[in-house]
Amino acid sequence: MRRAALIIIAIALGCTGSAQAKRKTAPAPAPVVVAPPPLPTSVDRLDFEQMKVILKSFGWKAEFTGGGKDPYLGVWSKLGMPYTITGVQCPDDTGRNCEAIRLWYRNPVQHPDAAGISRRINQSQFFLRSRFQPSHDGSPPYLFPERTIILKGGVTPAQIAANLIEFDRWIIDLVPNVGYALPASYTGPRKAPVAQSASAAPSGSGLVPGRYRTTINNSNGTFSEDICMTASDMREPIQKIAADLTNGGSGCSISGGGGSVRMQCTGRIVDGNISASGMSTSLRWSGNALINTDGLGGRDRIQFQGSASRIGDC
Amino acid sequence: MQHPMGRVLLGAASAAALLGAGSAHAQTASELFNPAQVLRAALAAPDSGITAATETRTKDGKPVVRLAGANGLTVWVQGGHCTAAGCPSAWFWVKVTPPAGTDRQALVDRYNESPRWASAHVAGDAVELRGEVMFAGGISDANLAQYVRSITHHAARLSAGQA
Repeated sequence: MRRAALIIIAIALGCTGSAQAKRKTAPAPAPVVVAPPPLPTSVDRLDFEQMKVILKSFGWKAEFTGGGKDPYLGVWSKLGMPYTITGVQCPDDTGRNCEAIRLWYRNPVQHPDAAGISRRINQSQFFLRSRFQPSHDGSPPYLFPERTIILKGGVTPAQIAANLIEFDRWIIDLVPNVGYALPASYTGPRKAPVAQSASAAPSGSGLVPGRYRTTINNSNGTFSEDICMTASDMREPIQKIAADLTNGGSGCSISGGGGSVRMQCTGRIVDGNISASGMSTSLRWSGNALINTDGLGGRDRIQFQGSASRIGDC
Repeated sequence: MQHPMGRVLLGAASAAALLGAGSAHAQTASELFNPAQVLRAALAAPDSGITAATETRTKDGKPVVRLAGANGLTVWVQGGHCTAAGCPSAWFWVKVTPPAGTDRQALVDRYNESPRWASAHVAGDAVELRGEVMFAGGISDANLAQYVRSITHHAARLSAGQA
């Protein structure tokens, strides 16, 4: 596009002097027709200007380019979905001339089970790739569905188009399934978003099974032990897992909702209230509990805080 | 998350439809999965460590390419989303076993954080890398070779416990 504009400017400047001198006698100039930049037959490095031409050839739009060390291209699919293209495997610090491109959905997608969703995406199909990242403000973690296309060796514009259009289809399907409405710019048929709580429920805590080092503080001191938690355990809500860890590894049920839930256990704890949060390989919790002090009916109410971090496989 | 699994099942069903279409590969070489092209590209792939490439068949008759690496890795390549006309993509996968004691889930999560073509997931005691290459629009041997190089390179790293 920039090349076309330069051609138009160059032609306009070149004509200015003579046009003024001959204004009275020269016929009206024919409209300048500038041919669009030719579509390359093969692409083996990222060139943003070239990429814009390719995108335009199948109805996508390049909206803006970000500069700096990590330049990017903001694009819109033919159906109005917002994506970003960045370079991968770049030979220098410019972020250009990269040997591959990464395409990702530009709108933020946060989900309490971003880790679980991401892992299931990577496990259940071959095309789409997903990663997750914790947020810095305590809100749910981010989900990043993406696709990397290798350019090195040479790729036809048609193949780039095929990849991008397929990615577009995947994202249009995925976004409502993780509880988000498709953006207002989207012009295709819409599907109602699935409620996040409903989609998060089957996946449970989002924690990775394995051996966890658990530390619990209460008025009697600090206690630590390693507890193995299976995939089946991790399908439970995180408050249930935290209650079980506090109770020595199992034996609790929870009820209620919101930040703090009620727990009832057999073993060390009789009952109490607990709140918990965590992601992927660690969790923290706090609460109060009525505990069985001697197994003979003695009771004491305590406050406690706990944390657990994954230290390896079971 | 019904969609990804649904699409895999659809792909499997389509692949099954190919069983009676052995001549599909006689069509265009570069716009459809062609085992011969994969074999050719894999053996020419720079720094891939591929020492042998053979075409074989699954139990139900689907063509599969087996790429054997010098380091003991085996990459499998099979047509994806196949119809009677052929397969417009190829599915690559390789399983590796990281060193004993490696936290496989943590390794996989770290690997997936970086921008790479293939994704990783924990598969029992192993880690599996998988990715899809689209053939629609045409793919050159040189570009296909880069995908082979990418998956063998990262599989070797994961088998050494490196993300």
